[in-house]
Amino acid sequence: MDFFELRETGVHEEFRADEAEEPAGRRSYAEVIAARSRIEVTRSTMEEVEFDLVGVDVSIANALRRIMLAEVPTMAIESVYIEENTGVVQDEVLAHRLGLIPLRVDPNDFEELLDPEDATDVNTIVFGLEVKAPINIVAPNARRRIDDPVEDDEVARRPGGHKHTTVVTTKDLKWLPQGDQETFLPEPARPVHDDILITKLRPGQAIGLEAHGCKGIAKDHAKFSPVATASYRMLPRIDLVKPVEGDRATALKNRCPLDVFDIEDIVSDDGPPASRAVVARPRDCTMCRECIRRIDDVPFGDDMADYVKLKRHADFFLFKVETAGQLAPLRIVHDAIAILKAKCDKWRTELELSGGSLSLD
Amino acid sequence: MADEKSLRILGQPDNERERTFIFRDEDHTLGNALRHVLMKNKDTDFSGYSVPHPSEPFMHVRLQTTGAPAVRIMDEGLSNLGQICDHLTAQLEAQGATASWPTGGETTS
Repeated sequence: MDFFELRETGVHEEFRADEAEEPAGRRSYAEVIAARSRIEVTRSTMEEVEFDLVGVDVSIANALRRIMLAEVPTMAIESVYIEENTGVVQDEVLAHRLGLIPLRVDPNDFEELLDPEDATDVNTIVFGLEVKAPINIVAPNARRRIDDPVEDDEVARRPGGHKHTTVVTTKDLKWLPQGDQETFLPEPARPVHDDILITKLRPGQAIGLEAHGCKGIAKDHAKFSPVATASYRMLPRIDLVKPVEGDRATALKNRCPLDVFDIEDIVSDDGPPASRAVVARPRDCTMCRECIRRIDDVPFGDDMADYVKLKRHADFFLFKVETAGQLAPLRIVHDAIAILKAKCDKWRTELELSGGSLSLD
Repeated sequence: MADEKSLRILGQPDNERERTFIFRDEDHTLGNALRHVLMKNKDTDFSGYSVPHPSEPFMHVRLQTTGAPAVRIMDEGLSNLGQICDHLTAQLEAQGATASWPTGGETTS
């Protein structure tokens, strides 16, 4: 088990040879990892999941994070066919905004669309957007009474009135099922939220378009990313190398802005009652280093670093994955691991096909 | 870069201990993880990866062994990384994750 220690200046690595612990038998690296690694979900909601990934190298943790961000496929609007758009938002801006809307459609139910010419019901979902902002045929101020501006204003703000603005949101997107989609999709395709503002229309303006969605990954376009954030940090470890007791314990507890330490009473038959600081909530630590900072003219301010060692576990990762809404948070993690596995399988096959023969330059 | 093959292998025909593997459409995601797994192999003498140019879709892995054919060690490396994924999937499924939507569930502590 390795650690990284933070001192007042700089990070110091502390490596312990783990190879020596391995028995002489030829266990493969995968077996070694399988024996010591685990995943434990610590918090799970509809929006985000926090879990511990323990016993693997950073390179694997980072591969999973990168895959979640950029390679887990989702569905998003890719092509927009505009029949009518008299609003102030230009066609290309409108199309771009439509593309960014997260869609609640399971990408596993669809195949990849390689060429827009090959669009079928198994690789494309279609949404229609038809909005006409009402307009009164009668001139808005035909019955205008100069002595009653309030009533006039009210009339103008009603639908059709010249002060009325029509709001176009994702609620106006209508799913148009293609082929067998109504039978093979477990639920109707829809945007994740129905209150996302797409554009606004003045009276008389209209939008009529058809939006085609397909499967993609965020490597191609960030709109396909299933996560809002996917990040990890290493578990902090705080060692009290010398007992921190009495007033020093209180001073340490009060110093920590995240309240990582608790004070325990020491009960002994002989001698006066005493107290001792213990590390109670190391997960809350943000590595602010306040506890090891040298502070002059404060009790215990000059040598706290001799008592407290701030470290991080090198193989204990606290992941936090927040979904953008298309997929359940744990599903994203599950998919990410499956994608890394698929990469390994793909390249093993390629290696086998090549027979190990050299390529010509 | 006219070669469209997804995997290219460079090296000397008379020395099968040293190879450079060129992966198409891969980057640091696979590169660093694969490099790490290869380094853990007892037969590996040297392993390193690079992405020579950020706007070209290639990732290179250099592998030198202490005697075994580099191609075999690469296969073992990919196999090991795949098995680690299998283990993690099993761990995650034990925590209630499945490949079907929706799996969000209620708030738990």
